[in-house]
Amino acid sequence: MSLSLRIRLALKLCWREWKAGELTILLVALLIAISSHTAIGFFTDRIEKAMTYKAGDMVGGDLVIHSSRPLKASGSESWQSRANAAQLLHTTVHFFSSVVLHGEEMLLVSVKAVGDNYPLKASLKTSTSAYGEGQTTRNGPPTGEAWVDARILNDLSMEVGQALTLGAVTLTVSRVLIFEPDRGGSMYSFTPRVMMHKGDLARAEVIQEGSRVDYHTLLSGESDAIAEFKNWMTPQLEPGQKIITPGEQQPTVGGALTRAQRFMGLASLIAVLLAAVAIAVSAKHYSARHFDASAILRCLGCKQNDLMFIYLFQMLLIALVGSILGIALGWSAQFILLYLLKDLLPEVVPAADWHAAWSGLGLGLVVLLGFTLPSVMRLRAVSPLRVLRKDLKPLPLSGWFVYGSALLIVIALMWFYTGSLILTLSVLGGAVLVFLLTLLLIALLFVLLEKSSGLLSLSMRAGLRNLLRRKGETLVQTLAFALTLMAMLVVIFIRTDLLNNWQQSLPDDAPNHFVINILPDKVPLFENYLREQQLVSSKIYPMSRGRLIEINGVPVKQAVTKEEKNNESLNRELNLTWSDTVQEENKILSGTWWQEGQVSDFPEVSIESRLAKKLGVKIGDRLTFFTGRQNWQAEVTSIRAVKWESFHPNFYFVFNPSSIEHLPATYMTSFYMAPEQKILLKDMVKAFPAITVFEMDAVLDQLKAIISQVIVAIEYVLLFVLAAGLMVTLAAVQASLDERLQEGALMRTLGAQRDLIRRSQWSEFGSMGLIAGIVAVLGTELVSFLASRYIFQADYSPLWWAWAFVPVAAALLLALLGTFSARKVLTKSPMLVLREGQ
Amino acid sequence: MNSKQNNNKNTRILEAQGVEKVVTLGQETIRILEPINLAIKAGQSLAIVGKSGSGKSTLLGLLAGLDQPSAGSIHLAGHALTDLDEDQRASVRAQYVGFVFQSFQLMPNLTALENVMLPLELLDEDKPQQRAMEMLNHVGLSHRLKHYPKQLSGGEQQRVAVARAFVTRPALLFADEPTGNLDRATGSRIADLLFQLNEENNTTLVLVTHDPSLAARCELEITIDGGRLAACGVSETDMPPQALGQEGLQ
Ligand SMILES: Nc1ncnc2c1ncn2[C@@H]1O[C@H](COP(=O)(O)OP(=O)(O)O)[C@@H](O)[C@H]1O
Ligand SMILES: [Mg+2]
Repeated sequence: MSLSLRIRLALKLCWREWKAGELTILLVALLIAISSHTAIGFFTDRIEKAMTYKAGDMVGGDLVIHSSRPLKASGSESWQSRANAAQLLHTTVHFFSSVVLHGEEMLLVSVKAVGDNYPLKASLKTSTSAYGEGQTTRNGPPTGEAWVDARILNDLSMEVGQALTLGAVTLTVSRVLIFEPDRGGSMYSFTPRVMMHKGDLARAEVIQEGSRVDYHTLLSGESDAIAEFKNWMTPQLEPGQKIITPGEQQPTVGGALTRAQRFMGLASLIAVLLAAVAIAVSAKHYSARHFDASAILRCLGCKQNDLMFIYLFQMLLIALVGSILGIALGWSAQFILLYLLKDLLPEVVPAADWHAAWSGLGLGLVVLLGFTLPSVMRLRAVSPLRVLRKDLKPLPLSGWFVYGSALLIVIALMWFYTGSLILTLSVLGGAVLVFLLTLLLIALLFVLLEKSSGLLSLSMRAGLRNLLRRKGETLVQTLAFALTLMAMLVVIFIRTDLLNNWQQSLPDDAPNHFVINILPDKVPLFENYLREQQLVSSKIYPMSRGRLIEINGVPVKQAVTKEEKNNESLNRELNLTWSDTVQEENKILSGTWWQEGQVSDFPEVSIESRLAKKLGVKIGDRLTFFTGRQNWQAEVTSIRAVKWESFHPNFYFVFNPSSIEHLPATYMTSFYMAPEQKILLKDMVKAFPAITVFEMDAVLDQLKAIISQVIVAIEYVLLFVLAAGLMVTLAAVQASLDERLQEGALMRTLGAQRDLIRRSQWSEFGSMGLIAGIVAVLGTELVSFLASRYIFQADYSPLWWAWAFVPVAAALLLALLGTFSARKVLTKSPMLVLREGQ
Repeated sequence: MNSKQNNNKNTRILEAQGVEKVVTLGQETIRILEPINLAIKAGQSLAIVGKSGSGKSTLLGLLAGLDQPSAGSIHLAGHALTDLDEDQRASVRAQYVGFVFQSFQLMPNLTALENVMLPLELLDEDKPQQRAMEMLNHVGLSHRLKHYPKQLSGGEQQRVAVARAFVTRPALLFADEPTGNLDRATGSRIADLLFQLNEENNTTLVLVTHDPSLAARCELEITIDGGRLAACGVSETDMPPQALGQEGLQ
């Protein structure tokens, strides 16, 4: 047969089969799979970008370059012209420490000098009085004015409208700063802020040769342009310069973003798996339907290779058409999603990359060909004798090689798509477990049913027999449904996990104010004050400042790895505390906490786990600290995990009380204050003039806004996974419909009433759902265990609610879906039995 | 059990009046069956013969209540099938009717034994297993009880089907080309079995067949041609045409 004849024949047959409805299921399965995959791909891509964009608000730009010198490029092209050419907005902010004066009072402050472009992203929040109502502004102070932290007014005993002196200039304090979007990592800094215009810098004459100034260059613009600029800039960075991208700097936002990205990768992954299942089910059905056709074609003179060509060509065509339509559908679906989410998204949602489309196309081809090849190869082996003897079925091929390679390709795709091998493998591990468990459970069920079939009603027995007979199909269907359920459960679990992690750290009454510098003799009074005002506070901790200078007698700078030399905990004074008990949400990872009240001869210290890892500090190491005037040593006796996001007072180093109680200390705590109570702050500061209050509520609000956005996105992605999953189940039922129709007709011919068939369907699909539900929860437990262990670094706890609810709900859902999609069995005339075989 | 078995030779167990079937395919309406009258008494056997596509199976399906005629009425064992809904007809079938098909139509998910038990279970009768085993024994398949249809030869499958048809001792048995898918020798053994059981149970038999020798074994014979009742004959036994009904077979 010539090539062109083959192609013409393939096209003709394809068209005829399409008209006869033979290809609909396969195509629709592929369409649904690819469209959900690409919709999730496009959508998550855009949401991800939008969230990165939003996170840019937290650092004040889409890209920030920190530098200890004014930024200049070594090449011929200046960074400004480069940025301007790429249409990036940019501004440089100067940070330095200085002293300001008001009357007799003077204060060390952290000055931030900004230009007219400032802030590039997000807004400042300021007020016209200390602790007053906030207003947002999209600009910094004009020349001649200064905006200051509320505590400066308190410390300098001044009011808004009065002037302060900075070097040689006098600036009028016109506003009180409540929130700076780019305060970022310096949020905890203890020196209060004075914000001024860059235009006053020269006149102030505070920056001299050799003064230490930090330059933060903020850039914002199109994400592609930003990425390109980053690539261009990175090799030109000099020592002391570093590029910060949003999400890196703030642990909480960064964590949220990474988690969200991981989550969405997982959702895509699940869509991929569902696609594979749907295709496999449909392909098997397709090939079974083509045994006769192949036999007839062989009789009519087609060679095996002609047949192969014809079917492969058809598959390729279906794959292409299905993928392209699926991509188009997915593309449209993400617009609907974006429209639904428009209130939560920033005005500008960056366009999606096309990689979701490409991966959809690739996936369509790989999955369709990969999962249909074994079936098509089986068709090749159909004996032409089948036209005479219907029972002649081709031997099932060992599809191990083909399935195996398809699986490998899918793994590679998933890996590429999620960028996480552990994630890919843990989901696959879950899938394999589901597979094995399904096998095991069905086998168990066989035995159980065999034993108890006498006890069951006829309709239940009929349904269960149906389930048991088509072992292969039942397995695939149960597997598909279990996978779907597992996917949904994993999604729900991870979503709850994301929420929990955030919500545990940010409950509604999470502390939103820090207060430091509580003098030791004022502690009881302050505690009283908090109680009187009914403010919920954390424990009050003593705080002493010191440096870590040696690890096991070796100066820290030599003791740590090169990358950690500049770790900020080594370069600044640390807050040291002591406590009898472990802080509430801290967890001892190794070592032991000291006994309460126990006096040890040698000071003991508990170190935060991440810092310990970075510094390579282990239990039993001796650390030398420098406080006040003296060096002293402590032995590491425990390593703690700390939830920094909790906004409770937390410390890198906690000592046993007897070791450093004698050091001079002030006290600190954090408390929750509702917006309407904020006026109390004024009163508090007046009552305790020495204290310093940090208002974190604005930062927290911003965090919560980002988080709620992520949650909505997650819920929508969940909907997609759910839809894809249900479609797989529908396709599976569809694949067995012919058989069911025939059997239903026969049952009714023999006198079965529709109600009996209905009940038997309920018991068939219901028990399939039940098994799938049980298996899915088991699989989810595994995935959740692996994920919490390796991805979220969270505690694993069994999903009791899922055990109680999922199997029953799954049985109900599948029974409803199954009886609905097989409803024709009840309406088709029993005359069918007289027509078959003619 | 005896109630549904009508031994009175003078009762019309099956009667069709003006039964016709019209189907619409797209815009076309096809008349598959022209109006047909016929009646058959309990214990008689009727052969329906005719060319392929002449409407034999359609008529059989209507007579057995598997389908509703476009016009006319059918009475089966005193039940006006045409006035009943699908479920009511199903329970009539369960009580009075057995079937044997050309393509066997065994439930593929049930063993031979379970296939034969099924009609008894649908009637919720006692000891279905024991009775099914007896029946299979009777058709010579006691060694095949646990086999699935797939594992049986065509002849064996049809014997299971015959056992399933007779196990409820139905008043009426409908058979649509029961030997059509079998070789001659096997076919004639199945035919023997059918007539033997028919005799033993005093069942009324309605048989569609191509095979003249099979038709000849029936008391009555009608020929369908193009949906029309073309001829009626009485074979061997000397049954007057009046026995077929008021108007006879025209
Ligand atoms: N539901 C239907 N729709 C259209 N045509 C039908 C239908 N049922 C039967 N026919 C047609 O009616 C004619 C009689 O069919 P059938 O009773 O099966 O014939 P026989 O059993 O004598 O071979 C055939 O031409 C068949 O194609
Ligand atoms: Mg026929």
